[in-house]
Amino acid sequence: MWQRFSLYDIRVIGHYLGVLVLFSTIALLVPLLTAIACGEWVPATHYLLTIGIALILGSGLRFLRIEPGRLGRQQALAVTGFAWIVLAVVASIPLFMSGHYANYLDALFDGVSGITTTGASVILDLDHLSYADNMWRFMMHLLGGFGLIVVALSFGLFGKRAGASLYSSEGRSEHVVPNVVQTSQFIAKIGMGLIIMATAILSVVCLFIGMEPLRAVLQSLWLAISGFTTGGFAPMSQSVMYYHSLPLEIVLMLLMLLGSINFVLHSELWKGHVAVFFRDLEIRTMVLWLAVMTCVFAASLSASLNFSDLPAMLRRGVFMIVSAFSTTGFQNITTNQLTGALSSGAFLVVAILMAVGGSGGSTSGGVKFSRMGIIAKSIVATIKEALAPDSARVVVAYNHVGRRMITPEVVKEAMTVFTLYALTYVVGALVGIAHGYDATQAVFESISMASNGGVSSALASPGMPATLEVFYIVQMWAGRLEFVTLLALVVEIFVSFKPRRRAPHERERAAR
Amino acid sequence: MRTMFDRTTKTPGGFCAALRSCRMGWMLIALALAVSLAAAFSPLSAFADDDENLVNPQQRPDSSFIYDTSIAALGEADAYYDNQTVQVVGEVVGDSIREGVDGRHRWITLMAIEKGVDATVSVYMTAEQAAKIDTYGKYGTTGTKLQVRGTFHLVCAEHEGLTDLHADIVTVVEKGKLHEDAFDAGAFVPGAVAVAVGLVLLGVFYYLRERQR
Repeated sequence: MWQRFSLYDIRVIGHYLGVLVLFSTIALLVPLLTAIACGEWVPATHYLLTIGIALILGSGLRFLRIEPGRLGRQQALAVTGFAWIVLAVVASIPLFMSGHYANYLDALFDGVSGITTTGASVILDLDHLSYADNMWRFMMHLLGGFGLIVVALSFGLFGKRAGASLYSSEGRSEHVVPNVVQTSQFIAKIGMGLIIMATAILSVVCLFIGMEPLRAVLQSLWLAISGFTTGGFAPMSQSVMYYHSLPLEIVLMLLMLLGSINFVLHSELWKGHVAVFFRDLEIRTMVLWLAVMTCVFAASLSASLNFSDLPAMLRRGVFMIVSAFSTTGFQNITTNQLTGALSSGAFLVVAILMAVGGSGGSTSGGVKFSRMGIIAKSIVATIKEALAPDSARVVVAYNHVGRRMITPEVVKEAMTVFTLYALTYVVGALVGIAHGYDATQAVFESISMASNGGVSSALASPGMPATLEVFYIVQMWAGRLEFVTLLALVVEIFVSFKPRRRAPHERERAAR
Repeated sequence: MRTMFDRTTKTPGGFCAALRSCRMGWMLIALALAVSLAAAFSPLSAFADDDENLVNPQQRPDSSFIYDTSIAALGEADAYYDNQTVQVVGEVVGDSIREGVDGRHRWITLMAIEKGVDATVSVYMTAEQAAKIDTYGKYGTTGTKLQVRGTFHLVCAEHEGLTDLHADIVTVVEKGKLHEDAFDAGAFVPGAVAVAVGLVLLGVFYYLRERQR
């Protein structure tokens, strides 16, 4: 029987969403302070008003249930599912007020893209955007990259004894330390440490290439946030290409790689367990996958007229491969080159890299290496079973933070999520085609949205059809939640509205 | 726009020769008049770069050139535009990015808004040409408007496959402008009221929660 939401559930869910909305006011203080410090008075008024709206909305939602008690599993699922869209709605308010969006839907698109760390943008005249608005765009990446729930847990917003159901509902299952709150704090510490380090290095590079000190430091911070959270927003409209700097691109590639590796494996490296790191199924799948795809990409480019010389292939090709597989979305080639100058084979390789994505438990999107590795191991197990005698029991093991066995449950989870991703990619492509766009570009853009990749083939642009834009928003949301949370939520809402079918004895009693 | 090429005709006989010399005389007079009129009415900016009007060595004799084009057109350019001489006008945005260690060349980003959508192109120029820029566009600042004539590369071999425009002639069309935000206390009132209402609501919530405990 399907579970339903009761009125009590809705009030509890509303209360916790209110907690998250109130928490967003702290994040909104950062752009407000930036605006005041830089003398950007118009954006300052926008952020003050948004903080007020968030305070009213958050407090209002908390009134739904004054004493909510501890979150149940279903409630946690709903809080996580709705958190991404509710916070995106709040986030899009100052974006829309900036005047850099054609309409509110465009601002919401960027809000969802920022929070889900997709990185696709439909902003107008980005190069004239205020420091405060830019700061907010990257704060969205920071919150979304670590995971809204992880951030909230690490701040103790759900109490010190918050259940693991909240943590796992955001697509995470492994713990660095047994306590969920401590695990969240560990993830946040590692991330912030790497971002601060990268900001310092990038600032030196930006100063060397001739940028003003304030612009150099701020843009370095934003690029570091965007790179590590595998977000993809850039402070300039030309993305990473704007800086014309190889050292900057190398630092960003390292950051993207670190951001796309499971945080649990980060902790293993931190503890000095190097062998555990390199034996891991995810790392091995990643190395093999990237080696194969790089060869295909290089072969495809070699056969084409453009980018076939080694310096161009190395500089542009390697960066685009790292950006695509980590689902960051930075570009050091123009969108016109991506769709026109790159060979169609290389273009499709970029799409496939985004579709598969990075490691589970990282900031990357896509199907994830862990699932691809498990599916590959499951195929091996099936072949072994076919060849083995009837009496034999086939056991296939893999290393992922310790030795584990391939079980039907693990394979089912991997296959379900893989199928849901594949279906969403196909449906998104069909929606793009139905809107009259080129089929290859429609496939590319659909993958980019659902995998939270963010490399765009220019379908997502200001003034795009509203129906396509709404579909892409749903794709980004669903992809970030890895479908299961969202689908469970949709089914539960649907069932809750459906009239309850009475049991025979209840019907008889009602008839009397 | 493709270049035109000359056509010559031959006419036999003395009468024809006399007629031709007469026509030539009128043509020379007409030409002199046209040149003097053009010099009198043309804008000064058109002659701003006469001293820099050097021969472009990349311009092959048989190649055509696209003259005035838009940055948006270069943003959607196909192979036809590759290695062509183009001229674009746009606002300088961002920073002057140093190329290499010696700093003799700079990367400038030119931006233009067409039909409500912005388009940009990377321009590679000498440090002397970049020195003509007085303002770089950003929030609260409109950058210098430049006219750049140069060679467009769809996939530049010199710069590892970048799409860029190698500038030959750089002319300032319009100086940059500053338009900083003025502080207006009244504009903060709606925000301050909303924050006050929100804080009161939050205070009431905590009061009710404490009473329930």
